[in-house]
Amino acid sequence: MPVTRRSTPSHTLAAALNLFVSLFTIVFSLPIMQGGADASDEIPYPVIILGFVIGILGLVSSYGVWQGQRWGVVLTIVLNALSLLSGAPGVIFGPNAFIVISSVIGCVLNIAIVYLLLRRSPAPAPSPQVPA
Amino acid sequence: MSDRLAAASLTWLLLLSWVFAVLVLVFWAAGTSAGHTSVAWWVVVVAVGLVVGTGVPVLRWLRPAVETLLFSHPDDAADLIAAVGRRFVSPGTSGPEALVSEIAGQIGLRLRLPYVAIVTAGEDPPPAADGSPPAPERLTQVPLTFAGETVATLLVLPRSRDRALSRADLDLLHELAAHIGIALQAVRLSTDLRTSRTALVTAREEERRRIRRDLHDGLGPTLASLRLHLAAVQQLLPEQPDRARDLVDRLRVEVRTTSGQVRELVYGLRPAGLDEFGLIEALRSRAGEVAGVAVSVPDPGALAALPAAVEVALYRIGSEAIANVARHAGASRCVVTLAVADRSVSLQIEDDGRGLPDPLVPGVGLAGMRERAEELAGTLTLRSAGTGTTLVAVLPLALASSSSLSPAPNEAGR
Repeated sequence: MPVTRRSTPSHTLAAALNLFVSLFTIVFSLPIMQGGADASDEIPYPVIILGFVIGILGLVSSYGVWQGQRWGVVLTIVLNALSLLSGAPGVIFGPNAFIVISSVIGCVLNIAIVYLLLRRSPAPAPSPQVPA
Repeated sequence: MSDRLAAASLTWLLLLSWVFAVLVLVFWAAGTSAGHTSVAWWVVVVAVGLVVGTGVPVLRWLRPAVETLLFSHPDDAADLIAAVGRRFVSPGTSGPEALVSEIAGQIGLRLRLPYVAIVTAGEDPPPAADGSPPAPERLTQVPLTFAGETVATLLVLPRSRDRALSRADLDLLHELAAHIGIALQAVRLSTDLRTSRTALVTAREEERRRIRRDLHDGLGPTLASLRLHLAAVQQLLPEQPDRARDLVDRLRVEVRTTSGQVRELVYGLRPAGLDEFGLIEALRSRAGEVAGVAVSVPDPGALAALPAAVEVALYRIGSEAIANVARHAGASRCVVTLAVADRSVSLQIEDDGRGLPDPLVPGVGLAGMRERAEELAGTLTLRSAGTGTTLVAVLPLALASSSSLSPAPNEAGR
């Protein structure tokens, strides 16, 4: 008999935030990608491509988290860590206020998503019994 | 090993991301931007301070969180419980010990624990994979219970030498323990049932052998001898009637002896008094044979017919208890009370003797009584408050109801 899995509220919230971040990243990076490497003089082109890939994979991982699958959780955590590493420089080196603010919000959301996925649901833990 | 590596990689990736994010946010908050070529010294101090100050707590939080995600996820409990359930219902040739070992192996495999063992009380934990005994001070014990009774203990060695099991691990193990406790109890009951069935068959065959031996060695030769003697009497009767009369007298004695042998044989199968007079009268008859103690068996009133097995067990327990009172209690008075409830029957033997010795060393008689009660899923308790001893045997009627009911000679159960 298959085991029924259910996503916890914090995982559902994380899945929703991750979906939002992924969609934003795709929508933001797709037009720049279509313009080619010459059109992206403000942000390095590899970062744009990486962001797009992370965004696409983020859609899949959001579904996994929403379904309560562990692979989805692990993939989302890894993607958010990579997204943080690639997007954080935009906070300092962003050429305009939009990119800076987007990077700050992105970093905060990346951290929040990882936190939501790793935090434990508050359940009373039985005291361990250690042999004397 | 690869699991540990994956957990460590994810942990350090997240820590690196955290450190990077802290540095970037501090520099950004301090107003550092793309045009700056230098950074104020206090910004560096604050950034390093924040990295160091938050890095250790974040790492402490990340490690168990990542391990929980990878090794102790609630999905693991569900999968493991399902796997254990499948193992129990699937037919197999392995015995209970192998099954317990397999369950422990499943827990260790799925939760990536280096050592997991299930031991019963008094049993030494098995050696670890490398053959060495696990260090007791490092083992975490989780009791496996059923209906409040600990049926076994789950011994677990933490994954890391310097860290105890996480709260998530303990939650998971306790959740598993509840299910495994039930499963182990089922295995134990199944084993007990098999053992008891074997004992039953063995006892039946032993009894048949004894009856066959008694009939073959005792009654058979005697009857053959009687036949020869009767032939001799037939020959002697016309010419030597006096010798024939003597022979008939001897034959009469022999027949009486044989009759006693048959009675003993029948009594061994079921006490004769039970069929003739009922349980109460049989107990009274037994009480009358005891010297030195005034044994009374009050009339319990009209009793329903008891199952034959229960009646015999009560008679045997009552007889043994009365004999014990006469032999050991130093009592002057003893009361044997029988009471039948809806689902059980109880027999109480109470005396005013010197009470139980301290410490009490149970003898063969007491063990036999307890065995008789437990054979029928009953209980036998013995208590003493200073002077006097009370023995109570309670036998359920439901389990024995499938067996044949004893005939009710005059009044039901009497």
